[in-house]
Order: sequence, then structure tokens, then C-alpha cells
Amino acid sequence: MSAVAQNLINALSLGSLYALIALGVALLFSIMGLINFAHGELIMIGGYALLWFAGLPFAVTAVLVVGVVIGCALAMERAAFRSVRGATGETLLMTSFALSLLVQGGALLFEGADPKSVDVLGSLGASVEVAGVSVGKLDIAIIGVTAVLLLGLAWFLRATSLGVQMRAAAEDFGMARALGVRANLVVAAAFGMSGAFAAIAAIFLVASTGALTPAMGLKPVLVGFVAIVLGGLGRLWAAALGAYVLALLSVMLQAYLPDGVAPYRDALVYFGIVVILMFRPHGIAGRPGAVRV
Amino acid sequence: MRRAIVLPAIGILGLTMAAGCGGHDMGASSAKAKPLDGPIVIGMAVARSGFAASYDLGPSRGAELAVADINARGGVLGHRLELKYGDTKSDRALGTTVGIDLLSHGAEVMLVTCDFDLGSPAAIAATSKNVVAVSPCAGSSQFGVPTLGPLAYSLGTMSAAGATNVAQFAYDRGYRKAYLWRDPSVTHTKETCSAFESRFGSQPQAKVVGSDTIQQKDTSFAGQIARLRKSGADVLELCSYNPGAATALRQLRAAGVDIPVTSHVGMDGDYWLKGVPNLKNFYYDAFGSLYGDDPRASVNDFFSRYKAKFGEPAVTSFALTGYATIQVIAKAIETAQTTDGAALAKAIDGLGSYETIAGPTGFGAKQHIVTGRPAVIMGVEGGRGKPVATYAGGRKTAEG
Repeated sequence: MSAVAQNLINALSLGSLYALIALGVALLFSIMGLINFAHGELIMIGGYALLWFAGLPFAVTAVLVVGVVIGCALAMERAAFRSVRGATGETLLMTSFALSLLVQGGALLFEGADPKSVDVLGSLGASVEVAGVSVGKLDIAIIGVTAVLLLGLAWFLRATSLGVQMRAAAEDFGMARALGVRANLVVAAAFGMSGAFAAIAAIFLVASTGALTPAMGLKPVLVGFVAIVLGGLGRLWAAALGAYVLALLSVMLQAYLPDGVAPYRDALVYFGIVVILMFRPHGIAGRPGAVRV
Repeated sequence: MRRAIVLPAIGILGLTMAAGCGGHDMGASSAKAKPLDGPIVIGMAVARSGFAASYDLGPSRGAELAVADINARGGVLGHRLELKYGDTKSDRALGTTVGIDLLSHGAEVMLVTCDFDLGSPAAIAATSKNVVAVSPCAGSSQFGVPTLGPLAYSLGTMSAAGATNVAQFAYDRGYRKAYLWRDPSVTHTKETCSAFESRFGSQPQAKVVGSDTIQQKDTSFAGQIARLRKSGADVLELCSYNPGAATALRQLRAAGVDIPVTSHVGMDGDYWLKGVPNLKNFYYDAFGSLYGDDPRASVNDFFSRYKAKFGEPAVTSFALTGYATIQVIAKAIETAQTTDGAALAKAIDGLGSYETIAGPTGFGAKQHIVTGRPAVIMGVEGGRGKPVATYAGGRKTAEG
């Protein structure tokens, strides 16, 4: 019983990290139809920013990292995506690929290919025992912060003027503009929020791994996309749901697969996703043609 | 993918050997070999960019130091050694292209990347043209005659030989219940865990009490840590590499599990230790200590010269193998008096236990990767590595 509880806690923690990543990607997809591969590079920049600001008090470091990543996200929007706004999905996808490669190449140039390491939130390294289940303080922080951010995002989208404008833009961007919604503001806000989610994901990712490489954003961003598709395209809360289901599948298979089959865990996770999508082609909570925030 | 590369390569080698029975006959080639003419060009088909660049940098610089030393003494048989670089960009597909390009620019011997998967394409390009190819530090047993033919060598210690030393070290320290974390992503780590299990499990009263799979890109190892904790193991063998291995270790220590952890030469260096603050009770085998406290004065001298020449300290002890590679090639050319592949291979096979900066290195007609070289077992305490023992052939040869 405690083993199951342990695995559920592990899945909740991993799912929260995945949800932070998936929400950052889902925000832009909902509003612009943009599948932003360069989101992984925002996470990578956040990771290296932790190294640049190492030594400062953590609160200062965190604010600076979030600021740097939001700045980079806004710069990406202005320099790369504004000129292709309204273009086809393929054009947007190719633009994000190109941007991703460019930023990764820049990181290789300036930071080198060697893996680097940094100790972030080391004070949360210990665990606490709760009814025979070992729960890391960092896991508690990830789960708690993600829950607060999810609730905060839901409140922002429903209770603020900018949030309502973003929801309107997600429903019908053209109509929203015709009714006076300022496109530049809404899109910039979406990029800024996406950047903030990337920065917080980077902090928790690096706190868990301690490692930095120029390609460190690739796996998280793929996980984010898979979570969005699994949860259901176009709904933010569905992206978070997809992230938790993905984490649960991964943790349970890791725990219960026999030794010889364990190396193929990821293949089985994706097989499970294919099976789910066969029965729910629009994702677990998706609706045909629906794009809502 | 590997099979797709290797099988055609074996075919090419087979055809080359069959068609060239007279031309590359091991016994007769010395007499037919072309004499040395001008500088001896050594092709460097290595990664200078991409993820493998950090693994190739040290051995390449080690090779540069050796070439400078040998040229300062008048070269080999009066011929200067010259290194010519090509960048494989850490891309297997480019390995062949870079190898062929270097051959067209006169490479007479080829150095390739420190990994079977990445180094073998350039090695095959060289050996199929009767040119000896050497990887300074590939550890996979596949880097040998059955897979790559009689002209390919590795100056690396075979993964299994390194793991045997570490397993014996763990047993000698009094550990009796080992747990394995297997990373299935590369051959080296798979062979390391297999050899550790075989050696440790065969010792009296010793037992491998469990194992788990860890994936290189995982962000959480909580499940594996929980199972390790329940197993009652008194030592963990970590068969993985960075950055994944450092992540696993960080989470293991953060979870309060402080049992000794043993690992392998891939964990050499201190570049990753900041991510695992105040790490202790961590042991691995290395070619030597790069902190100036190696039992051999020549090794300490090498690393201080390395720092003086390149303006920064070596990141890992792999740099020694680049120097050793050039030492072996130079000695073999001296013996064979040619760079002709077959004759040079015969000379390398005949060197016997040849003393290099990385210790004695010996090959045979069927053994083209090092197995018996002494390994310095490094222990990490307080976030810093230091030599704790020397092992060779699965037994302790010296303390410290």
C-alpha cells in the first residue's frame, strides 16, 4: 500500500513539472495556433540564467531568472513570430524550429557543449516521512507552486480584462480584433506568461537535476506537446490533465515493469498514449474543433 | 542503426581482405610497404562540436602534447608528426565523410572519437583503405577485431575490465550487498553493469540484491531510490553517465541515502560535482588523477604541462589516452618503418606490454582494446576526488 502511495506522490510531483511545461506551450497554441518548439530553449535559457545568478539570495535569483526568460520570450515574439502572425500552422512550426536551432546554437557558442552543473534549492534536498512514504521537500514545493499557478491562471483568465481578451482571442482571433481586442497586447501577454511558466519550470527542473546542457530543453518540450495532445488540444486545464496522466503512466510502468522490459518503458508509455487516442481521438478532455482557453 | 553501419562495414572489410590477399598479407606487407616520405600525417576524425566534443577535447590535446614532444626529439625516424583535424560534429553519418576527407589529405593513421558508436564510421573509412585507426579511449568490447577488423584499435580500457576492478574494490572495502542502476542507452554502461554483477556476485558471501533501470533523460528517480532503500543494499553500482548520472546521484543523496556508490571512468572529472554538493562515498576507476596527486610523477607532470599549454586544467583523465595513443603509434611506425596498415598493425600487435603515460598497454592479434592496464580508483570526499587505490586485472596492486 505504501509503495502505491509512494508512486502516486512521485507521479504527482513529476506531473506538476510536466504541467508547468505543458501550460507554457498550450497558452500560445490556444491563442495563436503556434506550436512553439523554441519553448524548450526558453527553459534552457532559464537553466543557464540560474548559473549566471548563482550566489545571490534565491529570491533575487528567481526574480532575475523569470525576468530574463520573459524578456527572451517577448523578444522571440517581436523578432520572429510577429511577422508571421496569421500564417499557416506549417509556417509557424518551421519558424519555431528555426528559432529553436538558432538559440541552441547560440548556447553552444557561448556556453560550450560541456554539461555544466549548478546547485539550486539545495536546502529543499531533504525528505520527510509521512505514514511510511518518503516525500521530498522539493516535491512538495513543485506540487504546491504548480497548484497555485494553475489556480492563479484560471482566476486571471476569468476575472481580469486582459484574461477575458485572451479567451476571446482564443475563440476567434479575427472577431476579437474586430471588437477592439488589441492583438499585440494579447499575444505579447501570452508570450510573457509562457515565458514565466518556462522560467519556473526551469528552476524546478534544474533543482531536480542539477545539470545544464544546451539541449536540455528538448525532452521537456516534447513531453509538453505530448501532454497537450493527450489532454485535449485547445483547453489549458486539459493540458495539465494530460501532463498528470503522462507522469502517472511513466511512474507506474517504471515501478512495475519487470527488469528485462524496463528499458522499453518510454515505448510502452507512448503505446499507452496511442491506445488512449484511439478511443479519444481529440484527447482525454478534447472536443472536435474546439479551441478554448 | 549500429548494425546497419557495422554489417556493410564487415562486408567491405571482408571484400577488401579477400580481394587483397597478396596486397595486405600480414606477413609480406612490410617488404611491399611504401617507405616514409615527408611528415607523417595523423588524421584526427574527432568531434570538435556537438555533445561528444567535450569527450574528444582532452585526448586530442593529449595527442598534441605527445606530437610536440616527439617532434622536439627529431620526430619518428627523422619524420615529423603532423595532426590534421576534421570535425565529425558528433554525427555518426559525418564520421565516414570526415574520415574519407582526411585520407584524401594524406592521413596515414587515423585517430577517431572516444566511443564505438561515434568512432566506428571514421575507423571503417580508414581501415577499408588499409589505414590503421585508433580510438584513444573507446571502452566497448565491440571496438575490436571481430567487429571492426584487424586494423582498428582502442587505447581505452575495456568496460568490463574497468568494472571488474571496481567490483573487486567494492568487495575489498567490505561491501557485500550490491544494487545496480543500469542505463541501457550505450554499450559501455551495459557492459559495465554486466561485468560488475559477474565479478561481485561470484565473491564469497557477496550478492547482487537487486537492480533497476535508469534512463538518461529522466528528471525524477524517486521510484528507483525508494526500491534501493528497501533492498538493504550496502553499495550501489551506478552504470550511467552525465548528465543523467549526476542527476540520479543528486536525488539519491537528497533523499538521505548515503550508502557508498561505485561507478566507472565515465564519471571522471569534477565538472559535475557542483550539482551534487558535498558528495562523499563515491568511487570510480580513472586513467589517472588529474589533481596533481597521482601515484605516478609522469602523470602529475603531464597535467601540469597540459594546463600550462592550453591555459586551463584538463577536465578528465581521458587526456592521458591521447598522449598514449601517439606514443604507441610512434613506436609502431619506428618498428614497422612504414605506415602501411597491415605492417603497422603487426607492429602494434607485437609491442607487447608497452609502457605509456597511461600505464602499460598491450595488444595481440585478436585483442585490440586494453584490458590489463592498472586503474586508479578515485574516491570523492567533500566534493573533491583523490586516488585511494590502484587495481589491475581485478586485484589491488597498490594503496593510494
